[in-house]
Amino acid sequence: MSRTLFITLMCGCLLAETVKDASAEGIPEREMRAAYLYNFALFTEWPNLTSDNIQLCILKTDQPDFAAEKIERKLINGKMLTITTVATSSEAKSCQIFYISSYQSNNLSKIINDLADYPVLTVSDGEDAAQQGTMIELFVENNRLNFKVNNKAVHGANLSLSAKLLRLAKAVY
Amino acid sequence: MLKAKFRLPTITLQILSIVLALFAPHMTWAVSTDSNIETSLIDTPLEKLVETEVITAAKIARQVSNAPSAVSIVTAEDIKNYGYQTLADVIASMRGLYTSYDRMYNYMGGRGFGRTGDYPGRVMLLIDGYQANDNLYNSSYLGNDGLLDTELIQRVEYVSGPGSVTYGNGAFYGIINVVTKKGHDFNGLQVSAGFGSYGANKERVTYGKRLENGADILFSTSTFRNDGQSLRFKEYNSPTTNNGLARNLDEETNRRYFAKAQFEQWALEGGYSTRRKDDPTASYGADFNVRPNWAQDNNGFVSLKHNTAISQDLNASTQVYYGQYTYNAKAVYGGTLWDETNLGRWWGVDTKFANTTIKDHKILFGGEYRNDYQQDFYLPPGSTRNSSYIASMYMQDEYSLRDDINLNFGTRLDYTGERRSSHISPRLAIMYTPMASTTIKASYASAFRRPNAFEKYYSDPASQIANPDLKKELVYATELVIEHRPDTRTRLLGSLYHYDTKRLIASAEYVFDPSLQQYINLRESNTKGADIEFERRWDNGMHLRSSYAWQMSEDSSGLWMANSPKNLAKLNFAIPFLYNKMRAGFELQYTGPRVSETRTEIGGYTLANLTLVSQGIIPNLQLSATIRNLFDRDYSHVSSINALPIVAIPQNGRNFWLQMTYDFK
Repeated sequence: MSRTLFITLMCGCLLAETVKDASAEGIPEREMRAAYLYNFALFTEWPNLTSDNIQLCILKTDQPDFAAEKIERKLINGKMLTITTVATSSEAKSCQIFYISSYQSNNLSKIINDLADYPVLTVSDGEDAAQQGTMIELFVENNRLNFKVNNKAVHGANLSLSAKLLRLAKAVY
Repeated sequence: MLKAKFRLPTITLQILSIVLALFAPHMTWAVSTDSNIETSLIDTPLEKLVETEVITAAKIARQVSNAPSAVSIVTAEDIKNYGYQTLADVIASMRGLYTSYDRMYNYMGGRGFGRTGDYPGRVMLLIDGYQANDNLYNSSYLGNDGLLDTELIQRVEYVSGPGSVTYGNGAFYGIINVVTKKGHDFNGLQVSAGFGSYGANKERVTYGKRLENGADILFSTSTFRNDGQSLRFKEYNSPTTNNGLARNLDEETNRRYFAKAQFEQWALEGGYSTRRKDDPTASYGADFNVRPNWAQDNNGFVSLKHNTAISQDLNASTQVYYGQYTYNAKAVYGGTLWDETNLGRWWGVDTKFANTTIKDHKILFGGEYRNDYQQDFYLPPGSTRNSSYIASMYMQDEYSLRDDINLNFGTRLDYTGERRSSHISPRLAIMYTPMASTTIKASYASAFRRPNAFEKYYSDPASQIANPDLKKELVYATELVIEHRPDTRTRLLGSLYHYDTKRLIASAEYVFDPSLQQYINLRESNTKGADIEFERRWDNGMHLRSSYAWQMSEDSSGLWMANSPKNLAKLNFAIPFLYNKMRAGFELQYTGPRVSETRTEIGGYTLANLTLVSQGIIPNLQLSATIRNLFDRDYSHVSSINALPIVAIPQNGRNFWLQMTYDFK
């Protein structure tokens, strides 16, 4: 028994090593997610933004799945997009964008509370994140990446999103 | 011993491995080298991006429930890849779990429970939040007697450990959480037909759609027949009992209906299933190889749910449900026909609130009222009518103490209106995330189960005596789980646990007459165990999951519990080939030796199952072929005391299932 299991496991692992990711029609999800984050930065207006950078922050204990290398150091209206790691969500108060992966769904309410009155655009790909108070929720439907906006939360933080962004959102709360 | 009606030349595992390895070249054809196309996505207008297709990344499914225990998840994709036809098939593939079939019902086991013939199973089945166990036997119906076709299932989550803090009575050793598909997952009419060994066939028609106004509807119906086999039981090997052969006494038929509709905050759902099965084992001392000997289980429910956001910080969800179950059985005892009809009906209402007003706290609270207003047994010697109710209140707090520490604690109070009938079920858990990829969870929880109507009131009185003094049974569990996810595609999980069960309800010889059985509260049992699982998904659809579990269950006198294997190992491997148009799903399940109710050791076994699925070779058509028990292993499951003198029940040899599914689009 142990021998047969072992052989099959070995075969499985060997196969796994020889097979690379097949490429089909379309853009990898993580690259698309990065492109969206870039666009959110482009179409959001922050009050009194004086720094030369737009800081996109992620939590040290998070594993967001987006192609950071595709957007890092790109210029947005003359300001450079930078990506910063923070230890706790309260350290993110000085960031412009805070990206929260679906892995943080247990912490979502705490993170939103921590950033409640600060002009930080919160973006998450957790299920129902927008309804729970995240400003933008990314989700996949019919093989397309789409987003929902919680505009109450956006206004509450003194931010404003362009009309174009609101028009393209699948839902606005 | 049982043999399939068709035979393949003898194949060994090694040969199969080579066949699997042959897929590798096909795979390399599918590999593309265009990863260096520099599409400047950030220069693409957003209007275009929202319309561009993405290749969704492979991900290990995330658990829906926030239970702090080790959770197993099987998705619709796994159900397709591995050809699962029943919930029992799904559960048998999960870490540390196993199923037994006594030719009438499928029983699940794991972490210290799993006596065959133990109808309650001590596991709660939730279908989209509705508690589907009946109110006579508390069974969850995991085989063809279940409420759902597996094709309607989006995912199955098994949460091990006591769940009474959330679900109260009966969420004893675990919760099977089934989420069904939505209408738009079908997006039109789907027709499916299948056939297999032993004269089995099945037809299904499903229609699902999301309407213009946003409403989502789904209807489905199916029917299944299986002629079954003529089975031989060596314990009945005597000329007076047809030399142990139960001729053509294994037939099974079922019919299922399921419907659901969702509109804005409302969700309405209902299901009905009826299943009739012949009993070749002549259980409860019926005359062997004599017709009629069958039982019919009919389950039905309707549930209406409403979700609403009262304010930014307060969400409410209310569910009203009605369920009913009828059991009808006919068998011959000493030449006399026995005809039994039992009826259970219940309704209930549950309201939950989730509040996030207090910083760092998410507080869940609510109340439930459930009325089991009919729990009746209509037996030839006389009838008993019973009813009961439970009123409950519960509260749980998810507290983010720090970004890396979460506490989860709560309690539920259940009140049943009888003497000494309040029960408090607590749970306390701490979750620590030292780094992004690793979570450590430690938990303590307790649960209870009231004796069900069958255990308490049923009296033949030729084989079973009622026991109105039966008390609820209790379990206390501690568990430590370590979960490591180096990336979103890979998961390594390990757990250690200890369960203490008090006043375990089990059937035993009646004190005043050993020829009769009566359910009593045994003193206690305890289980300790450890398991480990590795899972990985690849973007091309390849999937690997393997697990090993060790468990040791002893009763109060230190005896190894019946039907509780010490070792369980699983391997699941799925791989696409032929430009992704075909998939092979291979499964290995090892179940270690166990002891029967009569303390005979029953040997361990390894089962192999292989499924091939083709999709898109012919547009809108899916073809699937499954061979179960690929190497024709001769094995048996432990029988229940009800089936004595039969000690072990022979299982199916190599058998196949072919199915085609067509989408009208």
